[in-house]
Order: sequence, then C-alpha cells, then structure tokens
Amino acid sequence: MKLPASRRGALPVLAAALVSLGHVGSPNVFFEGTAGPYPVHIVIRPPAVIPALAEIAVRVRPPDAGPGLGRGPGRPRVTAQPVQWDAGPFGAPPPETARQVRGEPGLFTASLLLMTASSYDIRVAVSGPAGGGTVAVPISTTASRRLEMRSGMTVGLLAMATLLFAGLLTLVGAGVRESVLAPGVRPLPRDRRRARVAMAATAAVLAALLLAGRSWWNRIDAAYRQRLYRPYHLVTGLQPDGPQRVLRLTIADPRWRGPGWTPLVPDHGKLMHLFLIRKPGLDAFAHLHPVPAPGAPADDGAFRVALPRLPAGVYHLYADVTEESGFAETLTAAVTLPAPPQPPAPFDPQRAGLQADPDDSARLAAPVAWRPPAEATVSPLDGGLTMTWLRPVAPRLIAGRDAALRFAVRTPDGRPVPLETYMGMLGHAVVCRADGQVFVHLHPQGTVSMAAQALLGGRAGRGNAKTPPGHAAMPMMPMMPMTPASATAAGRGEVAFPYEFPEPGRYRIWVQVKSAGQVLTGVFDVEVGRGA
Amino acid sequence: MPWPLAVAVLGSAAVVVGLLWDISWHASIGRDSFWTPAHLAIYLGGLACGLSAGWVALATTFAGTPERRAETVCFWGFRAPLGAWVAIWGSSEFLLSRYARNWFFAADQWTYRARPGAWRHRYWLDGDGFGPRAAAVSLLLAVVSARLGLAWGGWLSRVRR
Repeated sequence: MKLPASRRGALPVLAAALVSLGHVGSPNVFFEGTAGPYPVHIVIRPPAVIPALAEIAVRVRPPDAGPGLGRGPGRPRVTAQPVQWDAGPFGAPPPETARQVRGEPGLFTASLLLMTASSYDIRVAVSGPAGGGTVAVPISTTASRRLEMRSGMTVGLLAMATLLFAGLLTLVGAGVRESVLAPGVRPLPRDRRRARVAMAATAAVLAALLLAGRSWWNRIDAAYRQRLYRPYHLVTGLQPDGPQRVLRLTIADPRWRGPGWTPLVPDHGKLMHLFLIRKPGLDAFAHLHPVPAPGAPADDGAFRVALPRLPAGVYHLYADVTEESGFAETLTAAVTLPAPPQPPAPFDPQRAGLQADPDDSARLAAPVAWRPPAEATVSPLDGGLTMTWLRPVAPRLIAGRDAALRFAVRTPDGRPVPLETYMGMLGHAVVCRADGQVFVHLHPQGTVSMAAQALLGGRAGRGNAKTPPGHAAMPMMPMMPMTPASATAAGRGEVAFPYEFPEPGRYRIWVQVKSAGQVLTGVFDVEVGRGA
Repeated sequence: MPWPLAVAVLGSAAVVVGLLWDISWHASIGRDSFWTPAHLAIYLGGLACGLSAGWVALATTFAGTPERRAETVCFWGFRAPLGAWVAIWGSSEFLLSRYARNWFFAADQWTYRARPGAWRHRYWLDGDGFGPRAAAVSLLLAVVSARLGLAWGGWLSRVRR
C-alpha cells in the first residue's frame, strides 16, 4: 500500500520546465533518405519517459527506376534496430521486424524499447525485390517529463487504500475480541479492551509502513528528477568594444567536462549554430556560427561571435550543438541587445579580432501578422528574387500532420533559380512558435543532426563497440549525398523539408538557401490548427 | 467439506502453482504478457478465494441459522467466520494493490500489447547471483518468518469461530 499523495508536490514547477534536445518542444524525429534502392521517409516518436518504447514509422516508396512495391510475398521487409552510441552493433538488441500497416502499402511501424537515456542510431534496413540497404537515423533520448497521476486515479487508489486499512483494523479487532470465544459467548469488557489495544498497535504498524513507503517513493522520484534532462546552462555577455559588437557565450555548468561528458563536434562544419530571434514579433533573425575564443580549445565551452546590425530588443537565443556521443541538443537563453552603435559602421568582425564567416546571415522582416490574408505564400528575397511556399491552398495546416514544407525560388519573371548547397545542405529551415516555446532547425534530410548521423553511422560501420571518445574520432564534415530527386528539385530551385508541427499555434518559418554565392532567407507565417 | 471451503483450497493451490509457474516462465522464457496461463491461475485463484468467502459472509448474514450465526464474528455489521474475513481482505488486497502497482511501476508505459521481441525476452531473463549476502539475508528471513508462523499458528489453534 503506497499513498499516491507522495506522487504530487513539485509537479507544476516541473511541468513548466523548458525542455530542449536538438530542438525545443518538437521531439519527433523526421528523416528523408534512401535505404538501398528504396526512398524512405522515417518518423520516430521518442518517449518522454525512459525506459519506454519509441514508435517508428517507415514509409517506403518504390525505387525511381524499378517495379512498384510488391504486395504479399514480394513486398519489402523492414527492420529497425536501436544501436546505443557507446554499445555499438554487437551490444545492440536484435532488429525488430516492422509490421506493415493494414491498408497502407509501404507504411511500416515498429516499437523499439529504449532502456537508457543516451544517443542512439536507429538502423532501418529495407530489403525487397529491388535490393536492400540500411539507413541510420540518429536520435537523442532522455527523460524529459514526469508522468502525472490523473485525479480520478488518485481518488480511486486513496479510497481503496483507506478501505484496506480500515478492513485490516476491523479484522484484527474481530479476531482478538470474538474469535477465541466459544460460539454464542458474548465478549466481556476485558476482551473489548484487548481488541482496542491490538487495533491501535496494528494502526501504528500500518502507519509506519505507509510512511516508509512514502519515503521510498520520494527517493525513487528524486532520483528520477535528477535524471530529467536539463540543457547546459548558457551565460551570455555582450562586448560592446568599438563599433563592432561581439556576443560571448559561455557554457557554465558543472556537468560540462564532468563524468559522461563528450566534446562538441562540428555539425555541417560549425561547432555551434546560433539563432537569435527578436521577441515578441519574431521580426529580426540571425543565423550565426560562434567560434571558441582565439587560442582557446572548444572544450573550454567559451564562444564568441561578431553580431550583425540587429535592432535593439530582447532576443530568444537558441544554440544547436552536437556532442561526440551523437547527442544533439539546443541550449537556450535570452539576450538583450542595445541599439546598434551610431553612426552606423559597416559589419567588420576583424575589428573585434574575429574572422568573418560568410555563412553567417541575418534577416529583418515585418513583425508577424497573424490574420489569414497575411499567411502570404510568397516572400521577397534580395535582388528581386522571390521564394514561394508550394503549400496546398485548401486545407489548413494541422499539428501532427505533414506540414508540406516545399519552397521554390524564382526570378522576377518567374524562372527557377538553381540552388547551391549552403553549409553542405540544400536548405535550412528554422521553425519557431510565436512564444518561443517551439524551435527546430530542419534540413531536407529532416530534423537529425548530420554530425550525429556521421558519427553514429561511422561507428556502426566500423562495428567497433569500444571506440573511446576522443578528438581523433572526429569525423570529416559530413556532406549529405543528394538523392537524384532532390538534385533535380535543386535545379528547379525547389527545396522541401519533412516535418510535422508538434502543437497548434502561430509559427514563423525562415527558409535559407544559397544561390550564386548569396544566402537568401525567405520568411513565412502560418497558423497551425489542432487536429480533430 | 462445505463447497466454499473446497473452492478456497483449490484457489489457494492455483495461486501457489501459478506463482511457481510464473517464476519459471520468467527464468526460461522471459518477458510475459498479462494473459499467460500462470497469471490467469494466480488471479483467478485469488478471485475464487475472495468470492467464495464473500458468498459465505452473505449467506450467514442474511440466511444463517442462529446456531450458525453464533459461530461467527462481526465485521461492519456482517457476520462470517474469521477465516472468511481473512480470505476476503487478502483477496481484495491482492487484486487492488496489483492494480495500483501497475501505475507506480509504469506498467502502463510498457503496454502489454507490445509484442515481446527477442531482445526483450533476453533483457528480462531473471538471473541474479546468489551470494553470501543473499544467503545470510534469506537465513535471517527464514528464522524470523518461521518464528512468526509458529506464534501465528499457536494463536490460530485458539480460534473457535
């Protein structure tokens, strides 16, 4: 008998805790790629408590040149296997065979048991008449919330516990008072007194047991809360020396370089992708790449970046980093920028002793306007170009359904603009909800960190479970091989991102592509509705 | 032997057999579901004990002869032999606390519908070592529980209704 009351307490505080993990508030993992000859679209829904089951859905499309997906014995076979980063394939469970969803040819689902909070490489293998292949999708899992007891359950369990408690006291009383008397004999006052003493002693023992149970449960709960994910604490500082402002970011957290820590690795060539988005209108946006202070290793956790000319205000700050374990996370903070120095000086990071990074970019736009007519599907770009959101006109976007994030870049006279890769990617999309509580950085390959994929895939490929973490294992900057379909789309000036909005709300999306050496940023607003 | 007593004896036997069966299931097969025969034996056995004792309580309270009622103890206005109340309380605790535990041990997160894969079978194989510490603890528990059992038996020999 354990009183559920011990389960309550600090819940409201925890429920409000901001959780981030390679994203903020957008836990599902989307991946677009190929497994052998088969194009696959993979969605992984990690559990919020650990250990628990992660749901994986794999949509297999027919190969571009080849027979369609067979039915019956000819249909593809799909397996999924979670490989923990420091266990390797030999320490991994055998692959689970995914079941085909009835009535949905090509859609396969499985549930994977994740026992520990860690980073995993979910290896999805597809084999069929057209051949076979494996694709690795990295995911980072950690316990991010505490389960709450429904109030009906609390009341029910308390009622049952009270019933059992009172029942046991009555039982002891009846046993001591009457059961030892001959049939028909009425209990004497002495028997009644004895029964009361026995009942009091039983009540004391039961109460002690309940208190012990409560303290046991509180210990379990405290241990779980210790394991709940918290991103590294990030301290920001502004260095306004001279006309060029420099933002300093320091990871100030006892867990940094603590036990279990692994160093940061570059994700598409950058140790940190920093996004600054001005509150509350989300009108100013910058995508920057802070670097360690000159002469200091990245392990110090101190980064600096020259700020472009951003207007004064309070900014949401999201810093995407990937650890060598493949654990990708988003560190968050808020930073207040004063008005830029006057008179306006040209952007010159060298004045602050920093190298200019041609991949840094910033975009100013009107504050978000949410009335449906403002959900413009065309965003003007520099040089008279436009970016169009190729979204279906009729249906409203619904949380938890495909967001249809497809964009096309056109010249003023409507001709397609060929796209180049920008930091190894055909495009980057940043999705942010108006309140800043949902943030995610997408690529055409999905939500996954490319560095994590390269690291985990590389380890899995070597089949070495014992590779010790160390800088020697740092991979080359991973370049995503483009599928023929996406290469054709790039020639047409189109880019697409697999994604589902996690929750209803008002979102702004920044889509960044590169053409003729220029970073182009399109801005789109959308209101996402609640599913039926 | 009155039939409620026979049902209670068979039910108790089913619980004991089911427990042993369940332990060997975990040791040899691994992860189980709610619907294994071992679990059914445990739950139905416990339920049978409680229901037959409940029938005794209802029959004695509402249709018992004065002689029969004189051989009972009073429990919240109802009358039945002490043994029936022990069976009813034990059966209730047995069924209710397992329901509660499902929540506390997050069984609702594991979903019994999840098909146990080969890895889960392997992961759940119970194989804890039996060392000197375990031996000492079990010896202590054996002595204490034997003493308690003897004292309990001594008291039970005095029970007359």
